[in-house]
Amino acid sequence: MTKPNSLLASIDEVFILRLAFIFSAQFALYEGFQDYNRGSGHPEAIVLTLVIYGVSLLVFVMSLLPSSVVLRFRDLPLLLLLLTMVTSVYVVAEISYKGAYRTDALAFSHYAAMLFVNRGADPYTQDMTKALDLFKVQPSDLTPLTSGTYLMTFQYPALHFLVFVPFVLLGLRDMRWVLILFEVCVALTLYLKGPRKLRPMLLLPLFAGSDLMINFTAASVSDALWVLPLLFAAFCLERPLALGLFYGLACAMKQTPWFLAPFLLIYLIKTEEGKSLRERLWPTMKFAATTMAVFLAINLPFILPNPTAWFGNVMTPMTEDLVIHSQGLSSLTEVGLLPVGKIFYTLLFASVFLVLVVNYYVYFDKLRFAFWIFPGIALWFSYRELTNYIIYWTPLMLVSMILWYKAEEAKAVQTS
Amino acid sequence: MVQSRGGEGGADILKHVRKLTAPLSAVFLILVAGFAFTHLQATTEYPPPILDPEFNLWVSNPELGGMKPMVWELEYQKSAGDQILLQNNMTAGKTALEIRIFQDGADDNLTYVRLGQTIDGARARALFDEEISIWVLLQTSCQCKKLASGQTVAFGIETNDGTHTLDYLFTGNTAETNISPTHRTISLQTQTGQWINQTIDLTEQYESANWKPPDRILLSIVFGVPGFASGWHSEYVHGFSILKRTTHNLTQQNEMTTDLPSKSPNILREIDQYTTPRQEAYFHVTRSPYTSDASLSQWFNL
Repeated sequence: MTKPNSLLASIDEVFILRLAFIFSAQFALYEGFQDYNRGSGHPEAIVLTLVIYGVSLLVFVMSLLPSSVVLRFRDLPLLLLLLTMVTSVYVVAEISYKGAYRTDALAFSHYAAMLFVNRGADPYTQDMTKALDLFKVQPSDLTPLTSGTYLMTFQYPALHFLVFVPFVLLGLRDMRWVLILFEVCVALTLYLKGPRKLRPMLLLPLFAGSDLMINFTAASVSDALWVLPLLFAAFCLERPLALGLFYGLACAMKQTPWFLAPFLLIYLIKTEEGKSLRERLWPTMKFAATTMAVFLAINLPFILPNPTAWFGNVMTPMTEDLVIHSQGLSSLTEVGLLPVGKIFYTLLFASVFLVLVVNYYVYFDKLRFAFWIFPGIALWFSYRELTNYIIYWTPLMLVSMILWYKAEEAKAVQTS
Repeated sequence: MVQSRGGEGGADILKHVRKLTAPLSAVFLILVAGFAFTHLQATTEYPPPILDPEFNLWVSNPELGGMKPMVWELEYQKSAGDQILLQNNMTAGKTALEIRIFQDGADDNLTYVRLGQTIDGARARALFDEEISIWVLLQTSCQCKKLASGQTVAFGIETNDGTHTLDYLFTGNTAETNISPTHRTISLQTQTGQWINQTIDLTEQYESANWKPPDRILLSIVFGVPGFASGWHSEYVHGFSILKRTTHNLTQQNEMTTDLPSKSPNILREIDQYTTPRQEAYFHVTRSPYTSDASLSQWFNL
């Protein structure tokens, strides 16, 4: 006799779960093989590969067991994907890269946290060269300037290093595990906030390739740091104070979320349409004030002692002589196919951004939730467009899907 | 009634705005892209051919101890008693990369250091559009044994594109040059004990040798001390800079080669006059992955 819970569950839900079982097992198998190659015969990598293969085979079998079993272990795909993620990051970071950081950004941020903890130093006034030695950064992972020298300053808002301070105090030596912690929180938040019967589907875009959840983090790309607070912000779109708090935190991590500001303001103004101007402006002002307050509370202690250093460093992407480096349109220039300067791409970026803002305002009813990818679109036209400037917006788009689904569901319930 | 008409008017305007915004946006973007492309064709900001040209970035060197320039790939050969030291210091008023070699003289083996960087893509193209200027300081002559040519150590710049090798040898002695189908040694007469600025024009050499400019090239600073020259030896490089080419273009160059004695720069004139003398010593050098047959060993095996 079939158990009652499987009777209650829809056929579709079980089908989706089975699909998620097979997807996660397949992904684990793929990553297991990658780990086998990345480890180049390292005994630890072999053991981890065997574990991943073993669990993967088990989940493959479970995907075709009776519905009651599939429903009882409904969260297994999430666990397998997270296990695979952590294992792969370990193999890449600790075995393949031998603990070396593969971006100057993480090396400088970790070093800035160390300077702050050990000497109380303001990282915006410090030379970061020592971090390269400390974290074995390779020359190919530095940020070259047109002068032939390299960027040797800390270039992010203060939370980008302050977030590592507790972990420095705890003696953590590789801050990629902090990034992983943020990523796990992102995946769990999306999973738990998603509609129960569709939860497994939310994992698919995150693990559609290895870059977003594994390779970039293992290579020390630090964007997970701003994604988590922005994810919380996205779930608070209707609560301006909470939205401002989390958006302020995201902006205090890295510059990338700054590009969302006009879209969020338009969102707040347009969602209140039909109300009086005062009623519409009030939540917008609350949001803006909270964002500024949070951002300044974190950064002001570093701005006040040396405003020139702070502004100079944080505005580096706009002001420094960085070389064109891109997987966007400007890659044509990088390979010599389109001989134009940075100003060409800067003008193009500004125009696209302006067009997106105007169109978002005019077509708000249609584009309401589409704005999360707009910064990625505009940045694709800039002179420095790296894949992480686009790919990390994926979790935010999933939030929109969840909110949209819930709104539609509520509307359907009301109608019926 | 009037209000209603006004409301209708507002709705009409809104309707028009909604109708026109998308196509106008597309037109705007096309116009901006067109304008930017035709009016803002500024010089493309590529990284320069030689990265970290003044040796600003240093990291620890677990193999040799001490420090080494980060961006410059280090390769060396030494016997057990030999020592190699790289440091960044102030020498005769200029910041300098100092390459120090202690040759213990216990065997005939050459001790050498190579600091190189691979240059490709846009950087390689730029390298062949421009000239390389380099500030060097040669140590004053040591008290050690010398070759018949007076040469004690080999210090210079080597380029290797996988097929062709150019060796620019800084020497305080009579300038010598050597040509083979895949290798050229150009001696740049350099006074010892003071900073001297030398200019290297790779294009000139490639054109006169009828070699095709490569997509990828390894540029190295090389310093070698033979086994007989026991003791400490130091050579210094302040840095590289890239200059606009001042020599003739390809057509002019081809014409020029027929008229070498009167028009060519010193190096080419010397190449023309040079007859390779056989020296008394042969120092075997382990071939590096970047080194073609004709390289360091030839500097001593002329």
